[in-house]
Amino acid sequence: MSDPKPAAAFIPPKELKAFQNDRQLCVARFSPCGHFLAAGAMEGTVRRWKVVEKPKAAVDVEIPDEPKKKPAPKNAKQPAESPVELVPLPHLSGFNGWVQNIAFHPKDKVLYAADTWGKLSAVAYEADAPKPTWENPTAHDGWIRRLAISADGQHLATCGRDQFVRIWTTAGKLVAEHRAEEEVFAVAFAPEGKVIAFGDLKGRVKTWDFGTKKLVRDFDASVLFSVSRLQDVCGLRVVTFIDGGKSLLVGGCEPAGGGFLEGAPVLVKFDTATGKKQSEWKFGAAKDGFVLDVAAHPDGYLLLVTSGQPGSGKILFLRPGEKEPFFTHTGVANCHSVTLHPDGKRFAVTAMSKASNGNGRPKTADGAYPGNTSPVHLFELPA
Amino acid sequence: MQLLRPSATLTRWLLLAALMASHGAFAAEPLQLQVDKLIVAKAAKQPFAAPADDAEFLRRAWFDFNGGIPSAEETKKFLADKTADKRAKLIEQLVAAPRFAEQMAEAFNIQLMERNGSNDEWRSYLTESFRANKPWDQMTREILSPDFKDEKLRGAGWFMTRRLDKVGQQDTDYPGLTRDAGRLFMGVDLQCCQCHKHLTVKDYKQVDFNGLFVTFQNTKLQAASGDYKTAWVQEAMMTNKYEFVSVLSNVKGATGPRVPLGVEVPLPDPAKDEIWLVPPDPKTRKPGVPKFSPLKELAARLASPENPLFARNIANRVWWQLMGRGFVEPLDLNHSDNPASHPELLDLLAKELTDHKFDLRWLIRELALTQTYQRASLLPVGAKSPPEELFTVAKERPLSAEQLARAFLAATGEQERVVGGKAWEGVEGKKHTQKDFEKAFLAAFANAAKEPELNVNPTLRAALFLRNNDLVLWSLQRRKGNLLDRVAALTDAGKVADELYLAILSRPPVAEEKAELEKYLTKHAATREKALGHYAWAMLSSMEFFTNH
Amino acid sequence: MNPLCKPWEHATSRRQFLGASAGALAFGALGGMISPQAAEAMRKQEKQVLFVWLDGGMSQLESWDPKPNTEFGGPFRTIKTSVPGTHFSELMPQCAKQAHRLCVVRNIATKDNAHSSGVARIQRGDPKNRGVAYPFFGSSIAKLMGPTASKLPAYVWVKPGSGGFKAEDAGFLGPKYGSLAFGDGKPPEDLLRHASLTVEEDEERNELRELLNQRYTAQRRPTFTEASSFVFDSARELMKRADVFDTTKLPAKELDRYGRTEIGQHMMVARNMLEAGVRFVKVGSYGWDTHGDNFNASASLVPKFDRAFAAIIEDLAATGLLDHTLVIAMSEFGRTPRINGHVGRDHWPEAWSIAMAGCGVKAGAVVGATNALGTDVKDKGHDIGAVFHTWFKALGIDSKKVEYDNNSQPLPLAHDDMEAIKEALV
Repeated sequence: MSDPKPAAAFIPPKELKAFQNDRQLCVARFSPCGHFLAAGAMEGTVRRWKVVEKPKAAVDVEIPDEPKKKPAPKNAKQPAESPVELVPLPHLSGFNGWVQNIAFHPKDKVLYAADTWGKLSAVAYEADAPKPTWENPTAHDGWIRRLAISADGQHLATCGRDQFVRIWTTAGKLVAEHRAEEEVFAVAFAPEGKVIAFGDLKGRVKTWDFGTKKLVRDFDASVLFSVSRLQDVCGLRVVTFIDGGKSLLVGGCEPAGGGFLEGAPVLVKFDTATGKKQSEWKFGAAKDGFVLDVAAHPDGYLLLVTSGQPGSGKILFLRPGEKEPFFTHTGVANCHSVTLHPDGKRFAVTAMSKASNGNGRPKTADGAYPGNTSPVHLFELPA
Repeated sequence: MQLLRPSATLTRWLLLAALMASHGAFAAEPLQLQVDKLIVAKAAKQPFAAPADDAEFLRRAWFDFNGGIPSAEETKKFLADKTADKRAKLIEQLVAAPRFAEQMAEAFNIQLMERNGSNDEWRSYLTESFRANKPWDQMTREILSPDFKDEKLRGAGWFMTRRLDKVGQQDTDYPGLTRDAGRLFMGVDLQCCQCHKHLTVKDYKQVDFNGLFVTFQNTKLQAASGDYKTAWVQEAMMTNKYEFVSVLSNVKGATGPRVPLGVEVPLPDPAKDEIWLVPPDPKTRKPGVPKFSPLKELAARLASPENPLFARNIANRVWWQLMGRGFVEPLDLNHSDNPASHPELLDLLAKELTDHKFDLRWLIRELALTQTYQRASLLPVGAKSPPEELFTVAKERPLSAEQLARAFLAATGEQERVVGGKAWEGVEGKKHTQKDFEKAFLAAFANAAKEPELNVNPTLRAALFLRNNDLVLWSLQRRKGNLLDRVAALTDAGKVADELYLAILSRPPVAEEKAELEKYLTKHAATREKALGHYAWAMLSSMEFFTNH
Repeated sequence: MNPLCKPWEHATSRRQFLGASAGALAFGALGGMISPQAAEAMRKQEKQVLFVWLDGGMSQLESWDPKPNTEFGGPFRTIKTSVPGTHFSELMPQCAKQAHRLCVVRNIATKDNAHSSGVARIQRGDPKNRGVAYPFFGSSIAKLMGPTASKLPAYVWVKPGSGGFKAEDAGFLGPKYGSLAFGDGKPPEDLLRHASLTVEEDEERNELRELLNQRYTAQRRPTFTEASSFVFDSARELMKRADVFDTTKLPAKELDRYGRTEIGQHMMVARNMLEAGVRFVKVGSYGWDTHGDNFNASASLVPKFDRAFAAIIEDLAATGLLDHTLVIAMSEFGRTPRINGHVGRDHWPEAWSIAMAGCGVKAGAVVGATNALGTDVKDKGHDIGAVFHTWFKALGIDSKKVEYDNNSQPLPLAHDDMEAIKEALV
């Protein structure tokens, strides 16, 4: 149900189509040219689609045979025609565990991917059967939790369960590394210079200059951490710079308890220069979960997606200077990632399938036990 | 010892009626005398204990009818009193005093709820009922068919609502409530005949369990709201019998609400009778109030002179309360293959109680005046282990945690301070309250929930409590006006012994005990005060203090 | 509350408990044992049990039975263990090194997928319904085997939260066979000798008490006084060994090895208790019900269990206790292969794992298997009744012959129709 707030000429987004898959996806990103969409899956592959624009007058696009493609469920929102189609391309394989992170080079036609076994690789994503340009299976010891690329396309940053933050050239050479006090959950580049921000298990966020190898500033996001019995519950998921680097956003969840995991999605804004907290937003109640992904729209607002308990999750539109999101879309639940098309008019959200209502137990009528999947929801932002 | 009783309940009643007729003169005798006669008759050649001495009797009567112990002064006074009927007078006094109702309420609370939680309104209900000497059948009806709208009576409903509280994801425990109702109000434990006939007790049939079960299962626990100030129980419409099958024999059965081993309540006929008191309102979606209340109809028949097991159960339990052992043991397993130790006597008590309209105070007074009740707990010479079921010797009985706390505070002389809240001036440290002591004593001495407190039961938990607990040791430190203060001021060891024994054990010390104490105090002359505290502790931790003998 | 501080690191405030005559705690040379005499007594081969209960359902896919690179496998790698061909999740590096001492049963298949019923059902062995509440395994052993020569309570439970005397476990056996719980590893109320007393004072006043009792009982039935003497004696034994339960005395090096976590600390207390001669020690840990964010949660939880469990296995082996101590680690069920809407796993009794070691159990063994995706057991699975039979057998109790006597109602020890798991036994 949409909840429109009057804003200067803002028209609510319209869902164009939901593209089905046969696996859960961790994150999806549009390529800088806008012709491709790639997504890391909860298995060792990167899914790829070609973004095909259809003219207004309907022309059927030939969809090549994709043996693994799951048929669309009956109740999916399918307009008679979507002006945009995502045409599946063969997967990129050679990864292990989950591919939780991908990033596109801003100019070169290269896609970087990091998996949860510690491998970092580069792939030329336009080819039909791409082989990695380079790969480093031990970029980290185990789970790489975040991968970022600098705006100038020079460096990659990775962070992981092994407590390391590492900076690489886009050719895969290690430039610098920093050992944090705990596992590191998120990392992002400042728009300029050689500074990154990273956030750890306990909600300690720091900026680090990888040129001078010196820590710059501390930011206290410990609201995103709590101890529940034996469990250190980390709610931190995302860090990102906005306002040309003047502000630092840290997003995730304020955990109310471990195990079943309850907590409200929280976003905190800091002043990069001083480390002071400027704002804090709470988007919901204990069932609503995490802020999992943030995208910055050229018009100056942010798109955030949240995912909590099965069935909970929203797409939020927020201006960083305001107290409340100016628009909330609740039609899609358990949203895991959001990616803006470079033209600023479309965005895609990966979310959880509705099928088993998120419950791990049910079998189908004939005793089959299918896994959950992540449809890619394509939206349009009418001008 | 199992005597085979070929006759069923009915036949036995006829036999008793014949007995009563032939003992016409018997009927005129006070009950207390009849009781003693039958006890003596049954015991045949067994040696009997002597009557309890004044001190043992005094302490026992106080615990039973007051719930605590007399002060050293009161003890001395009673022991010195030369009146012939002082014991009877004491009983009258105690039974007439306000604390009697409170002690009865406490004892019945433990018996009926078996430490499964606590509720103020339930306690008030019990206390007020005993204060008014409400007949037991009326109380039973008020408990099994509660009036949740009446301020004075809704407390009774906690017996049921507590048992219907849901625990986690488990089903509402209707079978548990059924079982407890049978056990506590009729002395029959029907647990094992829900799904098939009872495998060891031939009297208990599946229909007996299910007749009770259908009544309780027809209810739903509701939260307090509107007119209902407490959680309450709502009955649904019942027009059909409940059908059941034996999982062993596949034999089918059906029953409406039914008194176990007794009569069935006829169900209303929707074709003929008006079944709604207040018909359901489809507009407001309010459920209707049925005219037929299975609980009310069942309770009326269960708690009635016409249900012999009802009187038998309460007579048995009151006997157990005062003598430490029922005629039928276990108390909730009355059936024809488990006969009473004194069948004639139990029948007599049941009949008399019924004739006296279930007046419990009357029965208790009568029993308290018997020689059987007033026997010593000291074994007669030559009797190593007299059979308990002959009642030739008074049995040591358990004291509840509440009685122990009360007695402890009285003995240590901290009652005024802790219970009365007075005399704290100049006292350092925390101000302990009665609630602190009750809580600590309950934690140490009360059984776990749903464990009946039937026998003297020393536990590891209690031993640790007595050895190391702050409150226990605090009470034994010298403080203005308390026991330690009084005895510390005395120089004569003999006087110290008198004070200690009278205050703690409610009796004077014997010569050996005086000598022992003197020796002990001489040894610890340098730390006399501490030594006195340790001696008092030893007495308070002894079995003599711990039991009701 | 400072979220960065761990509650178990707070020093517990304690009264002095051994008074002036506090004996120096003897730290033997053998892996940090408390008292050489106790260790000697233990070598006398009295059988004991360590039962680790991970409440909520530890994920078998993130521990004993990982399925890397499958649809449901999750993000983690696997690691080799000390048993060639056997792999555990990367979250269990220490247990991987102890695998040659462990017996992991991977084809456990039980019926109950709810906590409130499942927890008790599993711990009671889910036997055939005979209208009585069966005892938890600890109560059962307390009844069948009683305390060891140490006279310490037979069934002790080290757990977070509240302590005290927990009668519920005992079922129809009666509260006497319940557990003595050490909440937050701390002894129950009133265990420590009161600060105002010296040992001598305490002994003397108890002698006085016994004397008074003897006089009282001289002319009365002896039963109650005997019971009283017994419990006061037990209390004294327990108080004497209060050092066993004192977590403030745990040496730092040991704490690091077990992990400075709640479960690490409790596992150390458990080790001390086993060394002191407690027959059955249960260690409880809560919070394993990872319906949401299962993978980060497992990454936080499993390594803590791993470190503590491996450390105690190592220590029990080093002191020779492992030979006659049956060790069990389990939950009430496993977790679903399918990853749910909040990136978690739900309950999965259909196919899960338990781990065992020690007395009567085959070392370095993996019993049974699940299919490639972990959704079901291969061939037939073992229900908890079979597991109970296995445990009794391992302890030398013939569960097919020995019975309980519940007020002359004979009751089997475990499910009539099930058998011990042969492949798990020596």
